Amino acid sequence: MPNNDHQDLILPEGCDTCAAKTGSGKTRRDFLKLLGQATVVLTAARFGASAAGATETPPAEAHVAEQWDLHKWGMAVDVEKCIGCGRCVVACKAENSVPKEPTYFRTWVERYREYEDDVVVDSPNGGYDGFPADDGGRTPDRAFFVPKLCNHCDKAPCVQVCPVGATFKTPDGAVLVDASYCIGCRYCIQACPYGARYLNPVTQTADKCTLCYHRIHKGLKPACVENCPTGARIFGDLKDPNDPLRKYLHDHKVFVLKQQLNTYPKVFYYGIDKEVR
Amino acid sequence: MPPQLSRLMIAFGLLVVLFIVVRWVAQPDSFYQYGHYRGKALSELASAPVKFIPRATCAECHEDQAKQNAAGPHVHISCQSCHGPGSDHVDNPTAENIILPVVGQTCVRCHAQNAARPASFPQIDVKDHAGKKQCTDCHVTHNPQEFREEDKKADHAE
Ligand code: SF4
Ligand code: SF4
Repeated sequence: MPNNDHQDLILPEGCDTCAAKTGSGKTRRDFLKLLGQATVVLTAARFGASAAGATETPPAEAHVAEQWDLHKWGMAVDVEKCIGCGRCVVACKAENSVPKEPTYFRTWVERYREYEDDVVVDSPNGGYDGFPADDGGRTPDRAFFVPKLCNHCDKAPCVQVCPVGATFKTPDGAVLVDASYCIGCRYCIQACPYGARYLNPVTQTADKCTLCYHRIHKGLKPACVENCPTGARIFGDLKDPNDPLRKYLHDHKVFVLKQQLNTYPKVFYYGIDKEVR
Repeated sequence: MPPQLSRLMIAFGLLVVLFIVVRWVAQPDSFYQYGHYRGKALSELASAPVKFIPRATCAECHEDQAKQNAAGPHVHISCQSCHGPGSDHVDNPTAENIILPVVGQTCVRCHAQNAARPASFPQIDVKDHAGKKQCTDCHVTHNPQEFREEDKKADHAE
């Protein structure tokens, strides 16, 4: 059937007045008119909004360069340098207003202690208060700290499951959460194989490491990297062949966590062993 | 076409149009600008305020401490690693909006003996090393490889 037919029905001449006359009628014709009017009103509202938006947006973002694909961010963690001081955890919580209570972390530190017949993994308060030394007199064969954070997976399961497009991968490779768009459904928290996400009790939206997106786009390092006293965290641009991170990855035999899941993490670990998950 | 059918199709067509319009209204302008997300979220996230300020800023006022620090083994450690975020403090420098670390808790956080620390990292058995003394009784705070007085150094080795 010809298209103009609906057009006529949607937008008949003088539609406003005919709707007014029918009042609270309950016929099908009225329903159809209502649909037509809703369409017109919504269209007008939309044009109004985009006209207003055009004048409002530029000042808010003026101080950040709008080039999102110049870099490809990544991080290396040198487990042989980490002393488990937890300064990174403290810094991260302060920089990103992460709730102080245990269980809310964007980054946390785990301790692995391997004995002859078992492996003990602990992370008291995520390493925020440091680690107690004693272990009931037992001396581990091997022990080390593993700082953890979101791996900013290239093929991120959390991005795939988000039903509204609030979790996304930026053109420069960071995986971010748009808090104003997140509906708090927690799918992504379930989907992340690394336990990197939590539901922020204040905003009721999913939250996790952003690689300090607000810092790295101003030429600063992420807060955890900046505050690590031993240089155990190396942050950089995987796209830039002269970046210290690229050099580090070239010189060290690094691993990623849960490689078998094909998430292609961009956080690389040096000095871990097979017990680290 | 029988009228009941064409009416049905018109109604269906209208619903489809309404759906498209609602979707178009509800979807933010910048959605799909870069991908299946709100493009504006990028600049919003990137423009959040910074709390840990650039390192060099501290030295602008605290010259002496910066000089001490630069001469010692902690030269590569950010001031804010112990003193906390400095953004409020630069805006309005008071003693309340910066952390003044508790002596005796700060140093051991890194230097207390712990089996999981790399063997090459300097660690102490606190009781053995310091007894009842505070770290800063002997060590110069911002350059701990310097000692307050030579005799204290000897004393400390007991
Ligand atoms: S580590 Fe988890 S939260 Fe981070 S990108 Fe991968 S799946 Fe998403
Ligand atoms: S600040 Fe550095 S050394 Fe300390 S726990 Fe974090 S990664 Fe390890």
